[in-house]
Amino acid sequence: MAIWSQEFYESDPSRGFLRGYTFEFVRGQGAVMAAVQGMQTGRLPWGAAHHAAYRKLHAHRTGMVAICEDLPEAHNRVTLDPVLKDGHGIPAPKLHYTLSENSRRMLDHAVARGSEILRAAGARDIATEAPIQSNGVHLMGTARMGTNPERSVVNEWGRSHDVRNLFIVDGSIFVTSAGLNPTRTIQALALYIADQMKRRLSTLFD
Amino acid sequence: MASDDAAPGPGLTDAARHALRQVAAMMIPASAEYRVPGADDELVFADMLRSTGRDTAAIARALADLDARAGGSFAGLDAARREAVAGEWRAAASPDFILLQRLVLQCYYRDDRVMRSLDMEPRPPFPKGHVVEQGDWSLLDPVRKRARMWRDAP
Repeated sequence: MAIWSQEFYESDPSRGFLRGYTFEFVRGQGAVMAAVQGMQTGRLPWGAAHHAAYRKLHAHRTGMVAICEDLPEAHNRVTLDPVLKDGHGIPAPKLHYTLSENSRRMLDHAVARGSEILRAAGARDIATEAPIQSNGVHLMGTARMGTNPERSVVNEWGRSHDVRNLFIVDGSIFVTSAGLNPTRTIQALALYIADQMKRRLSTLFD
Repeated sequence: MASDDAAPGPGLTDAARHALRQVAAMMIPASAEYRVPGADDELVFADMLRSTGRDTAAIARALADLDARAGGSFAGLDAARREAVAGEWRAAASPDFILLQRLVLQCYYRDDRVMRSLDMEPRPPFPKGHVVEQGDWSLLDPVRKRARMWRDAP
């Protein structure tokens, strides 16, 4: 169970960055994860003092994350690795990602607002990590949708500009990373593109 | 300490198992105050040996690193020296060490006796579920009154 807030999702020039983020508030973690994260963040000691320290953490933790929206930045891309190959000689994907100044400012804003929210809710010990190192990220974009073949990979109904019998239907056609969990939007895009293919069946590859 | 006769973990030597058990005891010792066993308890340790799984090689490497830091054998050190060497080992926080520490914590905090000491029922949440204390849902009333923020698809 989680509670979301999109209070800071839309662009607001006064914040110093474009686009925004979703806050996701989650319930506290179970006994094992509280111990694992407590150890990793130095809150839990080894030895006799462990038990008392753990009981301060257990059932008194919560978490929140800000899912930030990366803009379409050309330096973030996927290429073929020139060296690394699989057992069949197929090059591995090489992921290039650099945090942009816009995303950095967005993260700073999210950490500041998130800390305020947690303190107002009674938090006494707040730890932050931005960008998050020990959790998942959404791999989005690189084959974005658009009407201009010079600036996009697929057209407005999912067909490749360059290869007329190729349709791309996944998170790579997003034009930004989106500041939320993307699965439902990907599902909606899949339904939309399938409808477009049915509607255009007789001229699909023209 | 109880005997090390729990089922052997694949890939861990007797010496490695002994060191793992010593480390577990140092990490979470038994407590009379909280009425809990230590992480070197017979049942908890047996769970660890059954649960190394895909991390077995990493855990073996972590324990080999511990032995190397001890000058050959961690188990052969006196208690004070073990504390010092384990402290350095922990501070280095190698990925292999992180996995070993996670194994100990995972098996300890899913032990029935430990869970009961935390006022937890030693059972999975499904299918019985848990009753969750309800908060003040009226906090969301202003949100519910907002105009819708989405548009219909054409």
